[in-house]
Amino acid sequence: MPDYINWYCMEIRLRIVHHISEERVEIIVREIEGHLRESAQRLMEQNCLSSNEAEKAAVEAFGKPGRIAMGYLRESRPRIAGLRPLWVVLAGAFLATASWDFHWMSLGGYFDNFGATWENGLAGLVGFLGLILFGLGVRAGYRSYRLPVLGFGVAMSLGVLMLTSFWIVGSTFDHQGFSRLHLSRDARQAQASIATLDEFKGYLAQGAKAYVSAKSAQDLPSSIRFAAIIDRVSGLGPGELREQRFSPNELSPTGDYFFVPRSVMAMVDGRIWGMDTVQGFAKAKAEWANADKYAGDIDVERRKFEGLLASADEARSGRLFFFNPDVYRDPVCWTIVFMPLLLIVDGIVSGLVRRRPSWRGRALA
Amino acid sequence: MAFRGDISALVLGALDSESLHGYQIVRRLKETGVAGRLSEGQIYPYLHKLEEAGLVTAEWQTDTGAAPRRVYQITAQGRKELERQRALWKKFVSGVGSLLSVDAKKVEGNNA
Repeated sequence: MPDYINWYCMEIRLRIVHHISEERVEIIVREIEGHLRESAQRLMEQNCLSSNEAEKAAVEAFGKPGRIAMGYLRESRPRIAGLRPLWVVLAGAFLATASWDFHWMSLGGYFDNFGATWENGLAGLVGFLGLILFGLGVRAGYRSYRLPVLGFGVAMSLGVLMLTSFWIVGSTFDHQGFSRLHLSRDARQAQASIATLDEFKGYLAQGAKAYVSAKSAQDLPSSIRFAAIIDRVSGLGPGELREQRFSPNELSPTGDYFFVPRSVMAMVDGRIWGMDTVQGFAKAKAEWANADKYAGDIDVERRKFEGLLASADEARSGRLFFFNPDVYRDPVCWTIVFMPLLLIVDGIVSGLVRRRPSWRGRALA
Repeated sequence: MAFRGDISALVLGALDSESLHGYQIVRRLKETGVAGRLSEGQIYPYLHKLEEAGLVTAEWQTDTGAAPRRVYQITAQGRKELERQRALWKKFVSGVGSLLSVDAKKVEGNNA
């Protein structure tokens, strides 16, 4: 005949024995056994049940062993390094989310490195450790933290929105901005970029004129074909465009490669892209015929910098936030996208905690 | 109707007039219907939590001839907490009553 009460007490013991002190486990199990025996006795007397049926009914009324054991574990005030599991869960969630955001923001060009630095590797490691910390917190708390995680997601999204809007002093014309921590440096750089853009615009006008009148490469003055400004608007370091793409022969006065204007893009850090190369004089001449269009691009870039300089003045005057969707959209979206992953980890870990111990655990108990 | 969040207060209430062992406390809560869908076993962790917080004390009773029972008794601190919970409950009930009672609605209607 099955002994339901003994089986039940063993199930409870197995689930709590490695997590609560031995003395306490004895109290819990003895108390439960007393309750079940009394309950079974009462059921036998009142409902005329057999001993077996009464034990079964008493055990069913008491609740599933997994759920009951979990109740004891939760009330045992678990700690990790003296901290409540909730704080560990939130700290892990923060580390993981912040690393995730950093990675995608850097790929999006926020830090002008496009993800190609050691910081991204470090962010990956920290994020992974954050996820482990998160999982450990959930495991130690013996419960699902989905509601705190959802609350954290909302708070983190708002926090990221406010942080980027405070940190990036921008204008509504551009996804770029000045760093509030480097306002003077960035403003100086923007003024230098404006000067370069003006010089570049002048060069485009002269170049277009020279190419219109030139019948062959020999007609082009060296000051146009190999102007110093080209290096500063190639988006690369001094001489890099020439060194990376051409042998000295190709760029010699008798070579067949020519610098031509392209769509202009200027970055806050001073880099400007506006030149490329083509092979053959005829192609180059055709490209230079569009110089007016590219000069228009220069005006657009110039206006962006002027807008940023005006924003920098507002920041110096005390304006705290520059809400620009082009700036905060990505980090806020990436934060929201990360929340389901945290919820999945929470669900898996809390589900594992509720599972019955393996046979090895059972044997040890 | 379940007041799961207030189970601790209900347990203190059950112990207010006399000391009880776990089975009696659970029976009392289940019979009055205030434990809602909580199973019998889910009430015990609340008892242990109250004990740890010093709101109740527990002693094994072994001289009854039956299986040993753990008898719980409310402490002075527990009574203080119970009074606090009662005050909160009264406030809640009067607040809800002022909005939902039929008489209050009638008075409001007559005034309008």
